[in-house]
Amino acid sequence: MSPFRLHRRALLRGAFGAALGLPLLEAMLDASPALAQTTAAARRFVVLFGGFSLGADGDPMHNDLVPTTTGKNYALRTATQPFAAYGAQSLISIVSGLRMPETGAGAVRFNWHGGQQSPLLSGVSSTSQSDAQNARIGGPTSDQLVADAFVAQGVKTPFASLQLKVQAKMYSPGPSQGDIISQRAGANGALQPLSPIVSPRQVFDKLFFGATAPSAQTVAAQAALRRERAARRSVLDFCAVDRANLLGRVGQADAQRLGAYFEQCRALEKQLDALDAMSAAAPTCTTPAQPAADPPLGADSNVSLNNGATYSDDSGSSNEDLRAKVMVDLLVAAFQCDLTRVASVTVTQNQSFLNMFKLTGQRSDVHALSHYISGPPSTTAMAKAQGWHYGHFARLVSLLRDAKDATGASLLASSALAFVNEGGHGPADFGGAAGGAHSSENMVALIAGGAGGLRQGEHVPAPGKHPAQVLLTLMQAVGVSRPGLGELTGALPGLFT
Amino acid sequence: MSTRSLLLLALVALGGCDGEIIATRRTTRPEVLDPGVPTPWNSGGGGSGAVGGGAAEVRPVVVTAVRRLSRAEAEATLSALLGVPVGAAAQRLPEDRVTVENPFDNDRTGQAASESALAEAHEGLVRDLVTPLFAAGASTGVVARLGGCTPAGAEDPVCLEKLIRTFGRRALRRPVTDAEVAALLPVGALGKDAGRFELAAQAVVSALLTHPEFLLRVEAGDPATGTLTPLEVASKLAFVVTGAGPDDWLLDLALAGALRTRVERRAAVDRLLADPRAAKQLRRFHAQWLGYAGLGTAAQPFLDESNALVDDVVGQRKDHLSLLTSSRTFVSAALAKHYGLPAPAAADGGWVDYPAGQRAGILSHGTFLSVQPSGGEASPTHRGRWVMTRFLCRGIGAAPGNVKITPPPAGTCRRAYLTELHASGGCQSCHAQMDPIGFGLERFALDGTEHGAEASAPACGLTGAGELPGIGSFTGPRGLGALLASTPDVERCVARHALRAAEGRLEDVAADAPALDAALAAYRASHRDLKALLTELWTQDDFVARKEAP
Repeated sequence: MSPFRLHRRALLRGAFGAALGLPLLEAMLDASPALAQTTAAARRFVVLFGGFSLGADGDPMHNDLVPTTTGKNYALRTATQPFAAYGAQSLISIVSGLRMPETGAGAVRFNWHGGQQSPLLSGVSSTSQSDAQNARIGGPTSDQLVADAFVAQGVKTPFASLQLKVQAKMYSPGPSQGDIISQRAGANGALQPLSPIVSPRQVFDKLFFGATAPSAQTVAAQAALRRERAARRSVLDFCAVDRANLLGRVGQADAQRLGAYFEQCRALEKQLDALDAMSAAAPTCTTPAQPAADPPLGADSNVSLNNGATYSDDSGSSNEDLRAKVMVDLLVAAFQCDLTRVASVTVTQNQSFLNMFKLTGQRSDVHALSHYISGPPSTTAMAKAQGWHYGHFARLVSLLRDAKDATGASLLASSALAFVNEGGHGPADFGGAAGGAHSSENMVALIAGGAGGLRQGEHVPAPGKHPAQVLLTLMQAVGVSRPGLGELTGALPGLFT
Repeated sequence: MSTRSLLLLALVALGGCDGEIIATRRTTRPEVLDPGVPTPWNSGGGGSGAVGGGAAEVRPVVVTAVRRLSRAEAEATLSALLGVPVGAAAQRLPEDRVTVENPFDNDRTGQAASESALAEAHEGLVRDLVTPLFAAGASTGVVARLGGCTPAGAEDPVCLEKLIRTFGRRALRRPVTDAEVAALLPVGALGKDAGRFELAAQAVVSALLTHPEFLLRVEAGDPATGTLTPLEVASKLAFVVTGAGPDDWLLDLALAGALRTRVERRAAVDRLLADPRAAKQLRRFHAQWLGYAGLGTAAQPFLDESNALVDDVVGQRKDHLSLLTSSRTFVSAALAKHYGLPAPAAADGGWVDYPAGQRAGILSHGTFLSVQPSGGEASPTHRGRWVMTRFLCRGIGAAPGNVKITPPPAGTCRRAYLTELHASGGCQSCHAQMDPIGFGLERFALDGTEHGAEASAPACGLTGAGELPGIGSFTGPRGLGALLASTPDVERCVARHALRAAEGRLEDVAADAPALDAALAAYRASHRDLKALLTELWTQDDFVARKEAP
């Protein structure tokens, strides 16, 4: 880690500003640094998602996760065992007994994989009826409501929110289930799905482009950086050089799509401005080293002359363990530098075909574990795969505990985090029999962070409550009080001390 | 792998039933965008047994629209333009979505949903590729290669403009405008400041590649003619035939107005087909159509086998459906041993004739046989669904949500168990369309090896007796291949897939009927020469029509 001392604003004051027609530096004045808000009042909100159910088909045990006792000092089980390595048991609370109904508010409808996405994350009953629309979310998600509320409260971080993804590919010949867990309601009410970033290098570029260690700030290095940044601005300027002509030649739908690209180019320039202002104003912030080149994408399957298709190699994966670590590191750094206060992380996507062999030694993909496709039928085996996810969550929580804000307070103390997943275990949805993995009964949410006085390190049963109500409660914890999330109303006071 | 897991896999591939549940959304429907207008393209191929046929859930918008280059197209085009491989940096671009109905990764219809961070992703990708190209110490001559000039010094506006115009035309697939040149020329100051022209060149190349018209293919058309402009035609042809953007010669033809008639386009297609990338694209078409495009390098012997057959059949303009019936196959010595086939003359690969038995054609290759979402053992249900959708273009809806997989009784034979299980609980309507097909391939494991009995239940013999519902019974891949090759629906389904790949969307049975009719006629008239079908599809007036929203 090296101090983030790049004074971008100073660097920009070179001869090229005028020559290249760069945006005037005054533009940066609008993007005033968020330092003023980097106080104890700052709150952070994170939603993570895993594409798994809690139990395996036919196994009478619903999960190998929920403690048998309530309150503090719960015993770790297979899925939560990884908490131990990070001392996170005392930090993470387990909210159990959640369910999503098939009728009424926040209902799961029509289809299983993907059908839960909308009620789970937005509190709006699923609306998609076709395979192509599977996993469509019917309303704004909790993280985006928080991001919008923060902006309305005057928070001016360079990024209103981040969307990250660890599972690098679908790993299946199709169809593709949704990996989008964040959705924003635009100014005109239109819903905008926000695609998560898969490439760790892209996340780094987004957050820390142009940041440099003081040791690199020789005169020559500064000049090189100044030129690099000027070049980048010229690239972004050129993006829209022919904008009016192009938009004039196409129909409305095309114009909308092209226009979105132009807007994104413009937004990138604004982000550069904001980052400049940040680095000029927040010299104590630290930035991580640039990650190594992105791990290559793995094959869907490596069926071969030697191994059949037995999950005995690294096919169906792309070094997700490293990806998860890098993404978590970057996320913590983003919070420390106050580059954003809201994030969502798709650790694995719906109906995840991620091969667990290199991650847990299990010869199975995540989805297959819930359906006895490989290995003996076992909720415990399913829980082991959950544990890989939860280990990274525990690592994130522990890093936030150790990270301090400008006042010296732990970032975790002012944060609210939730890890939610695709399903629970019990009577399968849509009239199925007991003991099914395709069930929205007996669901669980992991929560962490001390924002608003959330309970930490406790098992909190919330029988019959909806997972969206947990998210609603976390929204309240970070100071975004709303009567409801989607169709769900009623936060859960029991989650607060 | 136990019998149990084998059986369960069969269930889960489609979301089976556990005998107690009522499937509520099960229909078998023609896999097509169906406006309800009867045409030969939505009748199930002349009454040969299609089931259901309810209106499709998503109506297409058959208008000409912006499309994003697929990852593969962007990779191939960037690689050709810059002369460097793209590699892992491609993962910055959105993952291309495919569906069971349209397996081609250039499908434009769902693209916009994953573009919320497109410019950022693409700008970073371009920076990743271009920066090392021009870095100090990198090979000289990059400017000459990309721009056709050698800079006279750190500042050379003449060479810079030449680079902008030369590289820009290739990158944007159209001439760069004077306004664009004027906008880019000031970056020359970067080179002067650094004492290296390459820095200005780097900015120019990056800017041109980051421009939306590189990544987003616009088909605005010519309002006067109602067709795509010649430059748009050049791009469409280049991407569909070679999987990458147009080379200089094709842009020259377009600018000379020489892509307006069918004859002209035919000449261009013939020349494009001679490009080595066209053969690769034809391999890719088959790999995506049949589902094995995601196989990795460990599967190379299987890929080599299928590619050789595709090259032979399509390249030599043989009966395309001999893919399904070929009595010989190209195998390395190792693969021959794996399959239990006679060794080829050369250890690194050669053609061998299949002995008498159940093997023939691509249905007995490890590529096709390995395709299913999860590993473990082969699922008869999944294989049946694959045959239904890929060869007969009959869609079957997604798995019912209420699926629950219950372990089968120990010692039960797979076929008997699945047959009994799927006979009840509302499962039969769908499973009867799929399982009997998959049973016919039951002797063949995911890795293409053949077995006479279930691995974990030797008493359960495997006969390979199967049935193509409504069409006929068969035994093994050889029997299934022969049956499919003589089924007219399969010819139609080939044409449909060719149109999906060419247009980047599902077909509309009304709007696309003339194009499909003509393509099918060309296929049949040529004794099923796939290149004849494709050439007809790619050169006909429909292909270059600008379709407006109603």
